[in-house]
Amino acid sequence: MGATVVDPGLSPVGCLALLWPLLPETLVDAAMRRALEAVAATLPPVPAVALELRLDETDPVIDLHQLIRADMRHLLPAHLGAHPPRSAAEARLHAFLTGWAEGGEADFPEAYLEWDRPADPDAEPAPGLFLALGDGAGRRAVPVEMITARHETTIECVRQALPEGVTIGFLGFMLGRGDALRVNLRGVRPEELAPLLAALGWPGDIVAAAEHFASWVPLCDRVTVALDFTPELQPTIGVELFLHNAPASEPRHASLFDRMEALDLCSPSRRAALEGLDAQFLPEAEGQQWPAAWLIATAARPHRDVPLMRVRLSHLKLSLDAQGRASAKAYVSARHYWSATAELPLPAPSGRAIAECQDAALTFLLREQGQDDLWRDFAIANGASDQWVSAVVGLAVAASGDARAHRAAERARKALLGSRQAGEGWGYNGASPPDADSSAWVIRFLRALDPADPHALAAEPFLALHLLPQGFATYAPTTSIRFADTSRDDRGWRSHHACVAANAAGVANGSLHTSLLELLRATQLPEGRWPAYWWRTDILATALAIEALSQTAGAADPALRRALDWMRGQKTGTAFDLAWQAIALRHGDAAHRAAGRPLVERLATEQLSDGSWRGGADMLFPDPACIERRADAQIYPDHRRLFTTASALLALEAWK
Amino acid sequence: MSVSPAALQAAMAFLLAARPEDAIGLPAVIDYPALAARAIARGFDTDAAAIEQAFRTLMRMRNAQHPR
Repeated sequence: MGATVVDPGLSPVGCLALLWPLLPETLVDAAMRRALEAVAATLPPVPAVALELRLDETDPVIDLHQLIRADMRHLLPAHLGAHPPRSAAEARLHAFLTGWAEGGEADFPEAYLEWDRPADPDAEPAPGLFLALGDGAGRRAVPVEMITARHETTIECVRQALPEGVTIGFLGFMLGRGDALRVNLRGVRPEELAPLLAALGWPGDIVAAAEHFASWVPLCDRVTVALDFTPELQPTIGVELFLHNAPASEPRHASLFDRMEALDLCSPSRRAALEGLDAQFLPEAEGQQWPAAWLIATAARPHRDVPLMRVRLSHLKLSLDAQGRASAKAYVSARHYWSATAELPLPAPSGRAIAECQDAALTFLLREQGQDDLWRDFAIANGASDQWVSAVVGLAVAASGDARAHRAAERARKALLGSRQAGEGWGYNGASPPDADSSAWVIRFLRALDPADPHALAAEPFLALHLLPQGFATYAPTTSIRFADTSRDDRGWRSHHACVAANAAGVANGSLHTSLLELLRATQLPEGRWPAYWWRTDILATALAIEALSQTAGAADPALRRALDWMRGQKTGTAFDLAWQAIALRHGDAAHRAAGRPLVERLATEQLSDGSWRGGADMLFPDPACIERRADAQIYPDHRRLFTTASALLALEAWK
Repeated sequence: MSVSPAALQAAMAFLLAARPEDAIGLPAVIDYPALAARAIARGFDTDAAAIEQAFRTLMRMRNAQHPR
């Protein structure tokens, strides 16, 4: 196997070859497969394609898309040189792609190319180009090769009508449809769509469209709005529906399709073919044929480049016409990667000063707030966490003192109060039972906005339900936990958890507070730490215990001192642990604080350019019967980096 | 499953003979029977199934030490 890095690219036809066995012939018949392969064979050598399929079986034609990320654009010039444009529309596209590949265009992180109706051999090639503007794109980030004066006027009109927090995510140029421009809006909240459409002069039934839109937001992580201008705003608008997690860790996939079927937007057979689509291939796996061309490329790459291929349902799209009638499409993506980490290349460390880090972290967290005002992270069988994660992120955001952050935190507060479970507490998410840890975080968050918040006070009796004769549990004896297997032993989840006790001790009052502090003193290990149940490391549990003890004890208190000394001696690896170590040492004496300051400075150097930190909140999800943390427990990190970033922001704020 | 040395040699010969630009131009999937016919003509004692298995083994060996 050679070690020379040679990158001629990979044929996108290989994506289709591996995709076909996953799709039934009734979904993509043999003739359509051949037509799509013929189109794919003419595309740039970037192995990332998607199929656009109707969900209701009224139209058998499937459109082909190709994703070209900025880090793949070096593959474009050779291909464009060998494939002269076949139409005026393609000539415009080639001019843009050439400029983009040479770095002369604004920094667009990715481009999607779309070929409509590949089955029509007589049609003049007229691809669509969809450009991601990127989170940091300025107002002038427009593709000069594609843009006309009319486009610029349209974009400026849209920008002026956008509510706070709403951004243009994509610009689309449909070259087969004259000067048509698509503007894709990200972050529109349900109550904002109607005034936005009115401001833009949309000719359709605004109330019906807004109701439709609002009904999808809770079922998705992101819902974008696609508006077409020619230059007038067209009567049909698009609503794109995204879920971050794979079907195995996101129950809302089923909810989304339930609703699609109930509205007659999706046939049962298409649902069966698409709903759970999520596959990963390795070249050595049995039962599939890895493309020959891809094997050659693998042999030519350094050994650290491990190839793999992923197929998944990317997203769904609704088209709403002026009368409120809807139709739906699905997008199935098939992409080759050189390693699992290549899917989401992490932005480079930023090198900002500490004060700038806070602002960048805040910007990242505000951008990631969902359109239902909650934040979501982690992926377990019950889906992503929204209630627990929103409380922690909301706490960090609320503590910043920034006006836009305060508005975002207030919206999250309202959403969390609306999601409180049966008048009790809050849980991992709405599908999980309420628990003491999530509820304690929500109480912290509510008090950060208003120290006298009555809802926080009202939630304290729920916390008290978790006090055991010799411990404090995540789930109370009276809390119903539903499992698929009704006979499941859940004693582990109802036993003492020091990490939860430490968290609750920091927010409890009165006798519960006294009991929890006594419990912490009684359960501290000789070396000074508290063993976590839900976390890979003990840093967070010990930091929360230090915080709780320091509310009433001085730094000379033996238990507190032992904990602080243990904390000072830890060599932490992740930004998450680093953040909580720094937060804890702030409660110590001069020597502890002297050890904490360099940690904050290190944290600042590890911030990524998008304002986040590498996810390091390694949550465990033990078997419910498991009483003790096991060394071989499966780790579930905060893959969206929100929990770690919120922790880092809390640390920066603590040391401000 | 064990892999025959002849099939491994044929698979290696295929990879070593390829040029970087072949990474684009080859058919989407390997035509194992055709490759086996060529290998047999060159004196390898093998067949299509053995060569397919040999390719998987080579990839497994290559990728075994690296995280996904």
